[in-house]
Amino acid sequence: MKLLRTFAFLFIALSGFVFAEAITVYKSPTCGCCTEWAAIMEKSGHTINVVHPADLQGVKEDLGVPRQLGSCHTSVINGYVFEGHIPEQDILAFLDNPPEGAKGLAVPGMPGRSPGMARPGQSYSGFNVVQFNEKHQLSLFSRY
Amino acid sequence: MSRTLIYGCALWLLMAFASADNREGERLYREAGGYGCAVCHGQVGDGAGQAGGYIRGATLEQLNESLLTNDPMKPLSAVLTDQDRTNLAGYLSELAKRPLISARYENGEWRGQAEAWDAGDDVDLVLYNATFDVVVVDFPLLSEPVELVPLGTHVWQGKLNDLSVQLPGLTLESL
Repeated sequence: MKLLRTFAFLFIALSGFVFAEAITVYKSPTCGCCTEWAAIMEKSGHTINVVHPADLQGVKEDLGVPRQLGSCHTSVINGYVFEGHIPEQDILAFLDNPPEGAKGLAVPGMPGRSPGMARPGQSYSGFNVVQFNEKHQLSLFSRY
Repeated sequence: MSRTLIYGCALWLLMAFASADNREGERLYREAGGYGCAVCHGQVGDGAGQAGGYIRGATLEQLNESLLTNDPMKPLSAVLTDQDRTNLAGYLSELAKRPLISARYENGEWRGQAEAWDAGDDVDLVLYNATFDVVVVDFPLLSEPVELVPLGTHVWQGKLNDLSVQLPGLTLESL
């Protein structure tokens, strides 16, 4: 039994198995594209907990999202903050190996060809995924 | 006399509700739905490269049509009253009276686009820092230098008289 468990653990570790995450999404009840983004994440196997705060901007400030990176919805996973329409693969890459001192990632604004905004089947393009820290220092995480 | 007064009050009330409160429209533009129109359309309806695009001068009819047919906007139709929509359209109409100049700083230079303008016009100047460094903007047009944070935007409103003197080094194309 112990051997089987060890084998299973090694298989998961070596195969790059993606763990499902518990995601809290702060959004406005009137935001349709936020719902689309959350649906994409849910379809990938993650657990979504949607919260509709009275003061969405206040939540973003409390979570430390730099104002110029603002989008419509803000997500929290394992204490890290993810602002806007970020592709799942970037979130998983970040969580797999969080850069030292990083607070989270953001896709500022509402790019038309980002997850939750793009039409079904349309490839993602025309935006940057930006990494930020507590001091609001920014760097490029990935480019689409 | 009293009948005239009643008619007068009724007319005033009608005009008050039918006319746009542009300042309230501006507030809604920034806050409607908790995130505002600006996130999809830029800080002054300039588009800012976002999905919603340029909407300066959009009419009440166009706004109502978008709230009815545009998927990301449909949920907003439930929370925007007729008066809210009138106010928003009023603000968008006010924006369209000022020519727009959009400028982007990247690779060590400012480049941008400008709507047709005449010397002395009140303009909206949108400055965007597309780099990951702080940029100090010291165009003579600005009363004092502006520190633009990485990926930050600054909107300046005022009179533009001479492009080459007030915004030297800015390369502009027609919008």
